[in-house]
Amino acid sequence: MPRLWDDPNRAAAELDQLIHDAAAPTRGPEQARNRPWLTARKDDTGWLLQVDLPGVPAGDVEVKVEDDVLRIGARRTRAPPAGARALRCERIDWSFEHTLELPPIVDPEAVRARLHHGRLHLHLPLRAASTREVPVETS
Amino acid sequence: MPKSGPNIPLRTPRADLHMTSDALVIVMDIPGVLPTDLSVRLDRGLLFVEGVERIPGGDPQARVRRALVLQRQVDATAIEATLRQGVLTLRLPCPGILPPSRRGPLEA
Repeated sequence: MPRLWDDPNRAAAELDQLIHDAAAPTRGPEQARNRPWLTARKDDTGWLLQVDLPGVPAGDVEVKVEDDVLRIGARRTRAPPAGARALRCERIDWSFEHTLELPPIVDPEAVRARLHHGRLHLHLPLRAASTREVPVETS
Repeated sequence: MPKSGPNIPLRTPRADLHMTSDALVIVMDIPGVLPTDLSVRLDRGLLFVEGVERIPGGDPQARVRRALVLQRQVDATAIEATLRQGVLTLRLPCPGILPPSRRGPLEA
């Protein structure tokens, strides 16, 4: 599992790389031809992850944040029509789990997930910028 | 906002084809495509499924396209299409086809 970082800018770059690696196809050339399961974008508010989960009901999707670790899990089972003969099967049953340590720049409490037309949208917001004057005490 | 410019990738959805006793059933994974952005067309034995994937904000992300050659005669006026959880199910009735489990010569 990826580790915490001290440098937020480096953390951002590493999270980008991590998500990119997670999105890389892990099976054969057949999978490589298809889209990655997971894509990521970043805007001013934070990261937006998209995970394609066609045919997965909301009850079969798990999104968990434990401290600063994000875990995404899902399983998909096809439901072929009853009494039918299969002529071609390109779709597959699958299950997966991604674990991602969120860098300090992300606010774990504000992570939101939404399943929309077979696609899971995860919003990983950045912590609000806060400046605090630290009074210098003299003894 | 680009409509479907060259920067938007084209994706080919995976499809399963099944034969029931009276219809061809096609199941395709097209997550992120809304019903209003989907078109299903039959043209001289070729089935075209085209759509646009969008992010919830509305910007198009990718074009989705799949063409399938139908090996059987299909009643184009009676095609049923259902889009649910990002899965498109098409039911194309095939008049006059044999049942899937056809046995040997019929006994008299």
